[in-house]
Amino acid sequence: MLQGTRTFILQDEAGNIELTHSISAGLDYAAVGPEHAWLRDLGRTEYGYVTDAEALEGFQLLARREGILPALESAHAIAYTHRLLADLPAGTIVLVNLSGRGDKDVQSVAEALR
Amino acid sequence: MTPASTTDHRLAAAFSRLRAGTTPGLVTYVAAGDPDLPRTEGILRALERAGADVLEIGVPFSDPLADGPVIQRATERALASGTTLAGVLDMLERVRPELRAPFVIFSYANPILRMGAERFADRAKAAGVDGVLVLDLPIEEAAGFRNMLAARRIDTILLLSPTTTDERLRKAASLGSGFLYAISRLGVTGARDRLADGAQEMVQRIRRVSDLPVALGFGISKPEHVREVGRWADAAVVGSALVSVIAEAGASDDLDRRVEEYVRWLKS
Repeated sequence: MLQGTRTFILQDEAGNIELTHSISAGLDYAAVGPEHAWLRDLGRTEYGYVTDAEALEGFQLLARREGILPALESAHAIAYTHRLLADLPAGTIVLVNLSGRGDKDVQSVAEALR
Repeated sequence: MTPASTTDHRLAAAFSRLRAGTTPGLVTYVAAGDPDLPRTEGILRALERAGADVLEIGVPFSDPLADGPVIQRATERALASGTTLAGVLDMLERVRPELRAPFVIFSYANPILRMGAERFADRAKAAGVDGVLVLDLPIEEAAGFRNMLAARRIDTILLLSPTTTDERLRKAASLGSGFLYAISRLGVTGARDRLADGAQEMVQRIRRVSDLPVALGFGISKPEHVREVGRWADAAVVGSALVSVIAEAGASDDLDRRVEEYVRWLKS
């Protein structure tokens, strides 16, 4: 339980909250939203991860191919999808939820790519 | 279920003694493990010698959201010295045979959830803990845990603030046992020069809905405060000011003596 929410959290053996890092401010938190905890318990979702570097690649991929700047949070989904596609038959339709826009992130992306 | 109200129960006994007597009650809070757990044992002995009526033992947690800078820093020192909830319970179990004062564990919810509530309740019982206050456990979620503790004759201490509505006061009064802990002001823990305005009125508001003893805390640091609170509440809680005394003494040889002197002064 962290800051009033009981959910999945990053913690040590004694129940102290672990420090986190992510290039995306929205993901730099030791807990997940309770909706995700619920969906996971229902077995309706699987969760994966990508690294900061992969997220930056996802950001650039969508920017170059579609002219859309994804939020760094959503860039994780783009990068993950890109990885996933390698294992899917050609022609498979994949839906990605682009949860936010990336104009808020251009400075951090510029710094990270410098 | 009637929890823990027989006369052999330490919290009930402490408060009925206070109600029968004339001296103001004093609940002392220390951050367990600051500077380390062996020295916390010595501090608890010193507190009892000095006449503290209830010993509140804080469990260090990485994200102490209700605590001001003094207790935050004590928490950091306690974590740095390797203090965990399990270690605190072991320490209390060791020191329990020597001490008569009631023990109240003051913890955030997560270390307890991590240990498992049932396992925590068993270990607290074995350690001779008399009451448990979980700072970030909302009343709405408290019933199951409270019953778990009550089955072991451990009291559940609930916190009330100046913005707690009368409806929630009544809920807390029916769920809580041992005593009710009133926060004198909004905000985090920390010593202040003056008692909060409206603190007396708040205690009176609680008295109208509950016969449970009421302890008032947050911002109390001087004997004048303790005496003043003692006129209309059952006890005053002193935390940050005592934690500061411990911080200043640190690992020095006169740590216990300074703690004892400070608490004797508070009770003067």
